Amino acid sequence: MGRFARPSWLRFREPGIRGHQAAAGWLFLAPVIVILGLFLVLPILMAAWVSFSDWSGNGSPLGSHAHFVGLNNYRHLLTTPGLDQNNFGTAIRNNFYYVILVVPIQTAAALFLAVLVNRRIKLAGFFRTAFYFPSVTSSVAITILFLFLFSPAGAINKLLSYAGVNGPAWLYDPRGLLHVILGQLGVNQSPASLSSGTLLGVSYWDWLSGPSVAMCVFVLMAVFTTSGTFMLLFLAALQNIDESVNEAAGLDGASEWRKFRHITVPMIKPTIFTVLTLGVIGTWQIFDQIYVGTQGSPQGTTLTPAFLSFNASFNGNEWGVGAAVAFILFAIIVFFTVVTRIATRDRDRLPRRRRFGPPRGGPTRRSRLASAVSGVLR
Amino acid sequence: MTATTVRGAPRKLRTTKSAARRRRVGIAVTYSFLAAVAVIYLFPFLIAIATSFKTEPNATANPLSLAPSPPTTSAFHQLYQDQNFLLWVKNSAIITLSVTFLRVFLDSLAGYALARLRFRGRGAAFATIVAVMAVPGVVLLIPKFLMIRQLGIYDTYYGMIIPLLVDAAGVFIMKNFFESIPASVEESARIDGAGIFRIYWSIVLPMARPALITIFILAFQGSWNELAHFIISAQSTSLNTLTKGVAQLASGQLGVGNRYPLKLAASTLMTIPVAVLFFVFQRRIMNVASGAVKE
Amino acid sequence: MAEITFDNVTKTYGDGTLAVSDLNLDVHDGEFVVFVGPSGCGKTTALRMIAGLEEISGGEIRIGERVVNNLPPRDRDVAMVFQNYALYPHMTVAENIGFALRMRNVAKDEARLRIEETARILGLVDHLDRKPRQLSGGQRQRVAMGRAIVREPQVFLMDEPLSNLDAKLRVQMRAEIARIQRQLNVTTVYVTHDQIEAMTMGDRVAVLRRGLLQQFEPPQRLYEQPANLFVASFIGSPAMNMLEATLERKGDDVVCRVGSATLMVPAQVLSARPALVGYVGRSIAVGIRPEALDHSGRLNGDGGRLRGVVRAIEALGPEQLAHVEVEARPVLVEDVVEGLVDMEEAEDLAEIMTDSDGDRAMLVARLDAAASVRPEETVELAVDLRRLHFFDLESGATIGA
Repeated sequence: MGRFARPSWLRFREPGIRGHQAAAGWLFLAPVIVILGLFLVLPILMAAWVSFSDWSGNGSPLGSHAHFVGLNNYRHLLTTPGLDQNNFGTAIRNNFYYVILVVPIQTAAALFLAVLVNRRIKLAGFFRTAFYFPSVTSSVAITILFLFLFSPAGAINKLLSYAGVNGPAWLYDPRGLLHVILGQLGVNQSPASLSSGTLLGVSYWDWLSGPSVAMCVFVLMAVFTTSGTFMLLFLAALQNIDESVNEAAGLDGASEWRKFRHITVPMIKPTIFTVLTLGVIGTWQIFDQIYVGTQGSPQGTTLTPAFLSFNASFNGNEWGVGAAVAFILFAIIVFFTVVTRIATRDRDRLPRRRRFGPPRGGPTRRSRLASAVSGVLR
Repeated sequence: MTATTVRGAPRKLRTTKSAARRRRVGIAVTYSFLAAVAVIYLFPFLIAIATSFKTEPNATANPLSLAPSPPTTSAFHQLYQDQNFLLWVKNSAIITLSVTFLRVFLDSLAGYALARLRFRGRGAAFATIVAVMAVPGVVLLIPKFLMIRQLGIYDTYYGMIIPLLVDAAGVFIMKNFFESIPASVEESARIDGAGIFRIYWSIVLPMARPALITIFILAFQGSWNELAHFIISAQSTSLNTLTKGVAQLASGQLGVGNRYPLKLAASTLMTIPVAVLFFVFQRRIMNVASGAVKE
Repeated sequence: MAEITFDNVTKTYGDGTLAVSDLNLDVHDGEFVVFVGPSGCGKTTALRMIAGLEEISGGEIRIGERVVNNLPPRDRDVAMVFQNYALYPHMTVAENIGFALRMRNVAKDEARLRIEETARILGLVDHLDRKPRQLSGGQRQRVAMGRAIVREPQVFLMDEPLSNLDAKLRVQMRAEIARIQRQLNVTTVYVTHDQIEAMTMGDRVAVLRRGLLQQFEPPQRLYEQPANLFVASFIGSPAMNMLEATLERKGDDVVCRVGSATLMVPAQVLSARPALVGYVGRSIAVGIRPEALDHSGRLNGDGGRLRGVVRAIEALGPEQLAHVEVEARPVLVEDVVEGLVDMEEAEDLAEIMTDSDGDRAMLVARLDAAASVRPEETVELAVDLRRLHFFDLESGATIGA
């Protein structure tokens, strides 16, 4: 028999020409499927149960220590005024500003860098490496680095002082950017109309605070660490554009900027959508940096839903609330992802019937040509 | 050829000399932008390295300077003596190596099954794995903790390693790779009488080295830099990984003394393995990162 | 006026490759000039230098009276049709054609008029709202042409625009392009590797090889009076038969000994090519076009027969190509081979190469379909002695004045 002969006890049930592919298939997949089921699917179900319970961390949540409380936890977060609601509203507000700052900035920065690196310059490899390097480091290392750079007497403020600017206390500064800007315009405190109503326990005026100065440090951190990755995505897309299309545009009279606007950007639209979507998904999940850096302070302006979920559960033993926050966050992420997708989807234009009338004016060279050649070309 | 009257707005022609000069200026501007941004991106790391060798007062007084005065290795000594740095390294190493090798093995198994083996439910299994990729990681923090607790592997290496073996992206990469190699080699082995596992192990796997290396690198990077999972899967300080240990060095200490040289020394050291891996494999890493998400 | 002048133009790449070497030629206003040659000969580079897509390393290119060396493409008023069409994939046909007008801020109504007219000329009216990916290859090619036409530029440049089309479409489009050019009277430079295209379309054809201009004349003159071995092999299909021969004196006449045969050199040929006399006693290359061979019996005459064995026959309807093995040495220098291989006459090349040992050469003769020749038959081919070509074996140049 050949080298690979199977012993007789394995030759059960004639398998057909495919051999035991079904059995082997499932066997090969088993570890991954089991781990997936155990550590993804089942946990979600457990957490869903916990979010509907009052479990406080003792014993097993499936045992007698957890009682069903229906939508209580969700109500505490969304509708019942109180600390939970307040925290949740604050966390949502903070993360929201974080998202709308980080996503456009990191996308633009990544595209800008990709366009620059894509020109036929020497040292392109060096620059690519330099810009991508921050993406391979751990969030812990970067957070500590930024804590150092942005400390009140740190490197950044030192740099600013050389330009004659007095830098703020960065990670200790809870002032919202929008409030600061409004303050410059003379609006120093909440107008009556905005301070009376609240949404999720946060006054409308406070909703308009913008990201705090402390949060801005995290914004910069995000751009620093993710622009490299997205730059690579854009680079790949740019390199997929056939150079002759750009040459044709050049011959047609387009300047560099117009080439970029009319040719390059439309041709990399799918990648732009990808980067935006990934950006939205990623920014709504910020956790590590908050945990290592500020844990929500100053004054709760760096509190995020992810951190809130963690904190409420592991430190506050309010597991039900923590789990509920996690699921609401999930819904938010799904929602924003879908919105981003819809807002940026490729709409194929329906053919519009244009009215083509007879050529106006006298016989131009065009129509002379048309009459000479008409009907020949099909 | 007569000029027609319908040429559109006349445009000023630039002189021949200025066009060439414009091009040179454009290139110079590109280079200066790139250089400036490169400085912004690299300088912080240089500061971090420099500060690890500074004394605390020096670090506070001259945060921008790249020359420690006086240079000292006291931060590193402290890490070794006062903190459990070596313990953290050991834990990180155990976990990272386990996760890396296990992921390589499991992902290739699953990828091969999805690519080459025909069985009912294959499509559904693949769809499930892809759907799993869509769940945001942070949402899973509490759920995973609950399960780890429930299974009794909380505060053990098992609890820290096993959940990290879920790697839908890796399965994806292996599946795509296996689909791209011609099936004729496996078919000829089948004719020769080889069993399925034998084909996988002795024939296909050796051919998959490039993809395996990719998984290896991604798994190494991912697990070495992981933080959140270690927070929820263990609490004993004896199980602290580098990320957790260094995070504890830093967290909650705003305003409580600044031990920056110590913290930055720790950050720098913990970055070295991934940095080395990156520089050695940068081509491959950047190729994967740029092609990883295809639209 | 839109003449194009190449004045000692050279193009060297960074790594030292010389793509175009000291090119001198001028294209008259309204003329249709074809650049032809094997791949790597520099024809596309020369074209792109006109467009401004390649830097000029040396010399000057003038369009009209203007030196355009440093002018960016958008200011040169040239339009180009690319080999792969280079259509803007995300724009409709109408937007593709109208893009240049948009860049020049042409008024919308005006632009629409022109786009419509161009579309009508090219039969694209029904496709104006489609995107390139919804079009066939031929339609895309026409959109590329429309883009060029609508601009009414001074110069049309075309870089192998038909090479991606199937054969039948190619033949059709060749005629249309030629006709459009004649009507529009725009100076056109057309690049191709296909010598048939070059011969049928050009007013004058520039044959290039390895960056050097070989000959620049109307197609008929290229055919009748090639300047060297390369041009002689490159132009004409099937290719010219090249045999080694020795010139000898026979009394007052000069004869050409080819293998075992002797061909008389007619007096009119001698007077047209006085330099031949200087080659008496030496080996030269003699070229005989397949059209200049005939089945013995039609052409009268002594002093002009070649005897050989028919090895293969290709029936082409009104005529047939006979591959005849004769006792003569083929000329296999690089000039000849390069001219052949690019014409995709690889089978002839293979035949020739396999016979390169020994003194047998395979001739191709173009015979009337009525001529009865059969494989393995011995035949005598009559040679039209007035159409013999003679080349110096070392330099490759035609032996002429």
